[in-house]
Amino acid sequence: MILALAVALGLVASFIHYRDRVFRQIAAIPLHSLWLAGLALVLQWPLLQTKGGSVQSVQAQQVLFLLSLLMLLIFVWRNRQLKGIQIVGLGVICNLLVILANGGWMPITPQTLAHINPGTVPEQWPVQVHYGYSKDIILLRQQTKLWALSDILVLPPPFPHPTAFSSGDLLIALGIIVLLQGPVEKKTTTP
Amino acid sequence: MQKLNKFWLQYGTPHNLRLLYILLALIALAIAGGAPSGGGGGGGLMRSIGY
Repeated sequence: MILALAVALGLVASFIHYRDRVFRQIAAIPLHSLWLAGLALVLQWPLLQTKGGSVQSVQAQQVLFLLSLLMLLIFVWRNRQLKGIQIVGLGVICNLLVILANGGWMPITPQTLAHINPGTVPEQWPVQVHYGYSKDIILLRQQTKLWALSDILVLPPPFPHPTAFSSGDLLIALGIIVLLQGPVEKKTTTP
Repeated sequence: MQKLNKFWLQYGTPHNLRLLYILLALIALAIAGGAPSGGGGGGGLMRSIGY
């Protein structure tokens, strides 16, 4: 949800800046290899559609997920000249670091899950299992490597879609907002 | 079919298609790069363990 908000905010900010030129500005963003972002999403889809359970049962989906992160890195690298993509890249790297440090999963604690699932308590959430329809594994804080980079930030109720996200997600959101402001206009100086 | 053709001819310009691809790519990037964990359903896990 937060990233959907980022795209919406970016569009609104771009519209305020450019008014009726907004779509021309966005179409002028010199992004290459757009298909890599789509492919990354396709590769993640099986994992995002799998309900929760043992991590052993989703090994194939996890491999595809890790491949998708490679696609994202290549996409970021191929567009590294854009400031917004540089910020997105930093966010992707932050997420990648914590995912690789925790066996290929984004960790989330039972406490965080209780926050975003009202009516539950931390003790109800079994650890070291895949949190369904996500890239997360439920781990205790003391089991989590690079905890500060994991899904510890929360948009709780009364937000309509309670969500946990990471610092990397915030950077990705910021990068998308910056990117949607369009290419930097070159200032021409008259002699 | 004819309406679809007409719509495509009017709006399916290279500029508009480029805009659409960029927006779709950014949405894909947002989901693939982050996709935060949502609540309100327990990710299916709670249902699967009988909660």
